[in-house]
Amino acid sequence: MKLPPFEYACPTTISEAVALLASHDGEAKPLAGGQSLVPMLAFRVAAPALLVDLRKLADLRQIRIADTGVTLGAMVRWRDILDDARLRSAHPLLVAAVEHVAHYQIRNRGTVGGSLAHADPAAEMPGIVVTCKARIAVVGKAGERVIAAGDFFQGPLMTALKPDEIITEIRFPAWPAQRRFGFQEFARRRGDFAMAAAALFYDEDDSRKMRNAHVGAIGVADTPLRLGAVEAVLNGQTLDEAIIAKAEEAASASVDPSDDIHASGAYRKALIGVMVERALRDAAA
Amino acid sequence: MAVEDVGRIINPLTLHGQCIGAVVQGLGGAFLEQFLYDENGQLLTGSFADYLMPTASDFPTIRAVALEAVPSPNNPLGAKGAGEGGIIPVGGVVANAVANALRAFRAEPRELPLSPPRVWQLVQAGRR
Repeated sequence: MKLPPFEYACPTTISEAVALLASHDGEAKPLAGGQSLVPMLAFRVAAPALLVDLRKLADLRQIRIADTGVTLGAMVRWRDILDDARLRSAHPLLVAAVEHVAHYQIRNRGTVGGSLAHADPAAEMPGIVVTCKARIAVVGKAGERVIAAGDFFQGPLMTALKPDEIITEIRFPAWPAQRRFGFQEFARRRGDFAMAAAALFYDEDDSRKMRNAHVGAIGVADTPLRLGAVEAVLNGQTLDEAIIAKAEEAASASVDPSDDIHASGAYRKALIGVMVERALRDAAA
Repeated sequence: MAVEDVGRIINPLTLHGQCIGAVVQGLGGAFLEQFLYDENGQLLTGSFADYLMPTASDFPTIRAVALEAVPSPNNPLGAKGAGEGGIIPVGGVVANAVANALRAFRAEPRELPLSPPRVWQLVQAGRR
């Protein structure tokens, strides 16, 4: 469990960090909270020549809340989200999801940017940014660009990030106060990676019909998914038992998870339906 | 709740902790812990990320009671081996409870751990 040897740098500006990453030809990795990268080093799954520690980049630690939405700096930690009382109304779905992230010690160190860059398909944050259509700002030697969450995740532990790029911000669209939402996750033990999780929200019109439904699935594919078929079941309808049953069925039919050592694909397929069903009941409550 | 007769208690505090720990270890075996190997004999659950060890927050409070009902006749103190007792019945107790809860599906668990996918499989098999 000892780490392979690596060089270490702790830059004080983003441009310095980008220059360090660019100088190592893909052999350098940014270090955020270290809650995924360091175990990967210990398992020798990753062995970068240089770690570029981002902890001194104070600009990346801000949580900004405006009429246009919530912006999280990439180095915002899970603990910062749970401790920020404003977020409970500014983005309650984000808060509900973060409550399921790992354990106390990990939440104190792990960061939102680190989770996105790691891109574990069973992690909460990638699922939330995809569900909410957040935009991910990154900076590299070619300058800044903004990537839609739906384009960011390319496979398990694979993203659209180039080796010299650092995530700077995650920008969530505005969250209307009346919006209804639910987040449901099933894990073997509290804090373990999800066997499956569902994140969803919708708005209601004057006649209580659902509009703008967004339904996301975590842990049932190589990347987090939006379940368009479930959204189609919900939009324009009033939520009742029949619609919940149809949504559950559509969720299971939308995914084709593979077998792994923890569960069969058939089990996860059934489970995502149940997660969507329970999340809808939370949203309606 | 676990009860065992230990003949004579020598250190109540360590005995009590061992009894509770034994039950939790039994619950780990009943619900979580599994050595999985591939066809080449490679262990697939070789780290604590995949091998689920029960921890203090994973199970409800367990009450362990030690009795001094029947001292051992084989030594002057009357003490018996103690502490491990709690682990022995847990797998059978839990499997019987699952069988009872799922009797409508004629479920008969014959393998541990009773992971959620395995219990789900028992239900699915009973529905056919």
